[in-house]
Amino acid sequence: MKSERKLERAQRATVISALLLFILILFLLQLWLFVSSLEKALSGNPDIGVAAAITSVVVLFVNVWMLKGVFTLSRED
Amino acid sequence: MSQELRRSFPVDWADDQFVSRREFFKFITLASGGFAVGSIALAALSKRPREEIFFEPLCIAQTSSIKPGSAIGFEFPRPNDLCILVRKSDGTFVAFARRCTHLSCPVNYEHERERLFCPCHNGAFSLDDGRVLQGPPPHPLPQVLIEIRDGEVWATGVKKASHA
Repeated sequence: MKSERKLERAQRATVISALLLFILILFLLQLWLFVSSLEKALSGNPDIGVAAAITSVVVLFVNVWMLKGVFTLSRED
Repeated sequence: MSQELRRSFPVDWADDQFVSRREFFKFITLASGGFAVGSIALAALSKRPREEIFFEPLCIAQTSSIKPGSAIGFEFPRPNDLCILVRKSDGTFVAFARRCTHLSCPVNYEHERERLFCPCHNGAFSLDDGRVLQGPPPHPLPQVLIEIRDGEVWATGVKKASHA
């Protein structure tokens, strides 16, 4: 029983590490999108602004969902 | 004094500077929200209509002083903002900013080909709407809005170049 509990904790840690890596990748993607659309807007060609904003909002929702998952996993500890 | 302070106000630095995974996730999600709001603001700004900007009108020349198939330079809306007024072969007037959108060389009117030509890197622009016809310029030339008033050509504003 004790070893089973340990395994669960280890699994949770792995999942949280994976989520951490994923959220960092998504965060960098958002940063890149923001900088690209800002650069385009300043050069007078704001065509990608709307697409970048929609993508950024979708990424935000994914991040919030993952944050919720991390809180749920942490509560189980 | 320093030792006394530490004794009086003990701070566990390791514990104080510890950031849990949950806190880190919260921080990243908050920053992600900031980027999302910023991107929405950028998109909203880009949708704002800014096609035509009007300035204090400036008289450029008498219509009779410019023959069809010729051009003159002028400065609008501020001094040193070089522009070019062209009277096309059909007698109509058009005006554009004169700085090439590549490296800001002044463009010249080519009567034979009815176009604006940049001699620095062989860029060429259309006289219809300022679009790029050839060469390295990345954007069209901004068009100067003009009006004919009592036999005079007046510059009234600038039309932002279309990127389509």
